[in-house]
Amino acid sequence: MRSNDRRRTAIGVAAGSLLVLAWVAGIAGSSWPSERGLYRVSYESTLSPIVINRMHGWILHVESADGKPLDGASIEVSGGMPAHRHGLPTRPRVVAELGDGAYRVEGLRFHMPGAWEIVVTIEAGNAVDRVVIPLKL
Amino acid sequence: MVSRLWILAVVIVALGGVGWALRPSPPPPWSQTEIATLRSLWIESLPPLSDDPTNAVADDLRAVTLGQRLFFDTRLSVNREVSCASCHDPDRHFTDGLEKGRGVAESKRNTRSVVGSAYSPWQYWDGRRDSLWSQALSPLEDVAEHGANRLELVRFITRDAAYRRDFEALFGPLPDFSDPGRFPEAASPLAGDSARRNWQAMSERDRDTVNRVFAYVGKAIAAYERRLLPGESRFDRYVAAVIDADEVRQAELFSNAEVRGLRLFTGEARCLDCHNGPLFTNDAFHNTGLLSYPGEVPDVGRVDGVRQALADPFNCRGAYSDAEHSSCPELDFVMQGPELLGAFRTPSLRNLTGTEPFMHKGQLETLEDVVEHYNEAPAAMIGHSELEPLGLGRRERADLEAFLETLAAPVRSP
Repeated sequence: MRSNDRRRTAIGVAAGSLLVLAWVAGIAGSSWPSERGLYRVSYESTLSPIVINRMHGWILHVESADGKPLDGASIEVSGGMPAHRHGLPTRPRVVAELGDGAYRVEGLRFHMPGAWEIVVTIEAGNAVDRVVIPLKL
Repeated sequence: MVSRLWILAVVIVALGGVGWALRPSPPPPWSQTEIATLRSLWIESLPPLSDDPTNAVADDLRAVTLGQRLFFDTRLSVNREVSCASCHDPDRHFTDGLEKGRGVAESKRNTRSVVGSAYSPWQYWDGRRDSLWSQALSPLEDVAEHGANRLELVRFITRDAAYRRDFEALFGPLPDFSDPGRFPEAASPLAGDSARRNWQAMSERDRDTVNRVFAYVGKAIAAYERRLLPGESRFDRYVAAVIDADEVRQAELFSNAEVRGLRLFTGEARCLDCHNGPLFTNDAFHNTGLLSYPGEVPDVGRVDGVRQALADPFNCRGAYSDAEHSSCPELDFVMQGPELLGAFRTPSLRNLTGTEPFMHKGQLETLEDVVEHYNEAPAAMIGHSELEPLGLGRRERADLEAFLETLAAPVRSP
């Protein structure tokens, strides 16, 4: 009886830990691989939560395939709403390279609720690849 | 006889039953998600107007009063008959009821309301100006609108004792434009040929002096226009009743048709895609496949507007802006390119009543026509339309229209 209780407690704790881990991973932000697998990108928004019609910036964290921060890359940001056949209402760009694989992008604004895609094109050396980040507003 | 009475009684009961079965059912209650959407459209959700760093007198009460006088002053026109209020008529929610604005002559586009426009980063249908004050300057020299010229205007301001006193109180001593050798009678980079030649002949320094005073005129008018905000509509009172869960008040304020219209607006009809927030606009540019005005080539809209905004000497980055030049994010990150062909700025839907005809050339006469346009979603004549046909029936279209009428409200001027 006691060992059964203990087993149940252990299972409960394990399940609870997994939930907490998943939650932490959720708030820490997801990351997205590039189409050809050369890079991986995550972001933090200076506007949180992201709401429509407000100009704001993102910090992009760019890693190479081996998980190391990628500095000195040339980065372009575009995107749009595929369902509405239009792009971004602004032309955001990298305004500062912060080091440790971080890049500050300014000039983002989303002017409609719905499904957006942010396309980050990364060029380092001669290797160009792009990451598509989905965003639901 | 008795049997006839029986038949009549049965028929009456049967008809009553049919009537009961077909009685209008009350609309279903709003879900929490829907209430959040309604709240996002509520006038109480409108944030306070942010500062305009390009205009140092934007919130100066003396500028508001001065701007109001300028707004209604017909002396700021070539024929002394046209003021800002000629097209932006306070009795028509600051519009004119015409397809295209009419000052000295007919202008190229429909007159937009000034109410709430201080919230937009762009002015005009094509966003060719990036502030209220730079917008206020252009009609003054437009040959179809005020038809005046820059030098004549600034000279008038300096010679009118009341204006001179009020401008100097706000902006400091005004320059002297009386030397005919330096300041010809008429001069402007935009108005007619001879005025343009005179402008070119002036020294750069003198042109700058004229421009500076000209910009003051726009900045004072803008201070007045910033105060023109939409008041509380029946829709806003309804949202308050929804938030308070006051069903009796909700039923008093909104008919079932209006509730159905609102539900379509925020859902299936997808109006909220562009007409969002408390002013019912995202202030962005969209191609919605409007027909061109009869006898005219299709209007290219934002493609040209963005080019003009960037070239405007009175824009945020210009010499006459009070902003730090590093703080013009709208210009710094502005979208350009062919995607903006035939795109126009989303108008607010507050107070459509009495402001018809609609759209950038006044192509659509009534609200019914507007709803029908979005329902059909015709292909664009230039560029590509973002619309998809909605497939709404006659009753749904009428419901949508009924809802839009609930957004009527008087202007609030704090």
